Amino acid sequence: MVAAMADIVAAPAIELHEVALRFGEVRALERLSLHVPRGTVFGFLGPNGAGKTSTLRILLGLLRASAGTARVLGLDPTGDAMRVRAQVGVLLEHDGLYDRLSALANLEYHARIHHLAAPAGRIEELLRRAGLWDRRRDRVTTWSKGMRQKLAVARALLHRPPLVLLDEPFSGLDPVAAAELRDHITGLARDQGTTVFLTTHDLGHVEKICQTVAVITAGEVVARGAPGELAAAAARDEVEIRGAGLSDAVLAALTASGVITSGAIADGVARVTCGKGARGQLAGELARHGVQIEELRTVRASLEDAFLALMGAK
Amino acid sequence: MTTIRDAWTVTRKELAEVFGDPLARRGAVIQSLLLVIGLGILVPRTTAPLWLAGRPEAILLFLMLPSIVAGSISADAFAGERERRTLETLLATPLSDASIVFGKAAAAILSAFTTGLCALLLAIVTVNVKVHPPGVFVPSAAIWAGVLIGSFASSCFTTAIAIAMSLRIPVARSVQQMASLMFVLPVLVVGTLSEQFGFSFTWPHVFELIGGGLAVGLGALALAARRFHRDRLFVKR
Repeated sequence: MVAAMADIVAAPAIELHEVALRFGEVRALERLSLHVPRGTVFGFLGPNGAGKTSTLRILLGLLRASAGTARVLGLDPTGDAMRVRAQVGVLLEHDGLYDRLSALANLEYHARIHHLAAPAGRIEELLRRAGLWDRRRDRVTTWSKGMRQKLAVARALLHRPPLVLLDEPFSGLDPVAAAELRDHITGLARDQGTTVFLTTHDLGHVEKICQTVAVITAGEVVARGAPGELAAAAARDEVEIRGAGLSDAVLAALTASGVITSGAIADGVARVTCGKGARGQLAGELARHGVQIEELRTVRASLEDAFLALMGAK
Repeated sequence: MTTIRDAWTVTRKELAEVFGDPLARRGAVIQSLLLVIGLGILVPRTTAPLWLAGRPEAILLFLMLPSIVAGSISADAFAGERERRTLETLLATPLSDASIVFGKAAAAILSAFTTGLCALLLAIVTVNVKVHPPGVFVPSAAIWAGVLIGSFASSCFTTAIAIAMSLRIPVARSVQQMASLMFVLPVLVVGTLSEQFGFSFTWPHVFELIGGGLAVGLGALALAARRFHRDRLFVKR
């Protein structure tokens, strides 16, 4: 029994092994494997309909996998669903707030569900942090999307869960609120050891806060790793050149000499493809063709570039 | 014990949603008021002699109409939550299936039972005002028991039907209509046939009916709780 408990405590936050999910002929997930260590912020990315929501539902024991195994905090989300749900905070696709209730009543309801003793202080802390304390007695039906989103995030964190599942948490937030939420999420993982598993289409946020990401499409993971690693893998040896004397003729000459493999000029800026080995020659060759270089820099790929490349859109 | 506590949490939320929101409260109050006025004033004005004689016919409508309130509230149980997109978040909580089903059912039954009780109290006043009996008219124990247990039994039955339907039908309004029909139609058929064949209700008949209704209602509620599976609510159709 002690060993079993120790296993649970030491287990990763999320572990999926070869999970499949089928609805009749429809294959929602195929051989999905994930490993999310505790205390990390994990980004789960994919286009619409890729299987992200189905994965969240499996993690919460709301759907049963057709094949494979799933473990959440060391527990089986199907057999131990109640224990899993008690330890997980969720913000799903829809905020799930009760429009007819006030913000306070919404949080009090969830505090009672989680059997929190004397939750008033915790509720006040979260509402103040979200900047919603003064509006706590308003029915949430009158609130903007951003305010509702903040309240839904507060609800997910109410019982201090060790694992938080956030589906599009930045949706509807203004840049300031989004930055505050990013800081909050980072702090949760860093200071409290909370694991945050989030899905979002805003890859800028992911690059800033996620230690690891997995990209899923058509129910299968097609890439995983640190955001920087995925971006680096997507880098395409591109160099951007600004300066006087740039012309198509110069680019043609550089291509002919093998320094670059391709290039184009737009708005006075040349973007060329140049292998790492040839970059040392590039500046000299440009000067030899009479180009006065103002700036020459390697174009870094972003996570978005990597994502688009994976989706075959680029 | 935890299930009862959790069910009460759900019940409180359901009632707060209905009576805390001005728009929802207006609808619920108007519906209840119409029932209370109909059962508490209009019906006893014409059936006062039956009340004084302690006849079971006096309370037959009490067995049927309060359950409309139950059907209306319980139809909102799952279909309404699905419409308002709160269902998935509710199902992602650690509440047990039984506490969700029974919590929602209790809110509906409590509202219907309260409506029936208010109507009964008003009916007593109406009979006293209308007939001016020599002393103050107080209904027999059979009438009290018939109304209170009967409205509870019929509410259980309607609630179970509405909850079972709202697990499958996504529109709350459709569930309300179908649940009402499924309850009212058999009652009307039984009423018409008994009138046709000159069948006269006696208290044993009424209590047999109530007992049967209570058993079926509670059984149906237990069945609804048993057949409630979260994963079925997300299977793509």
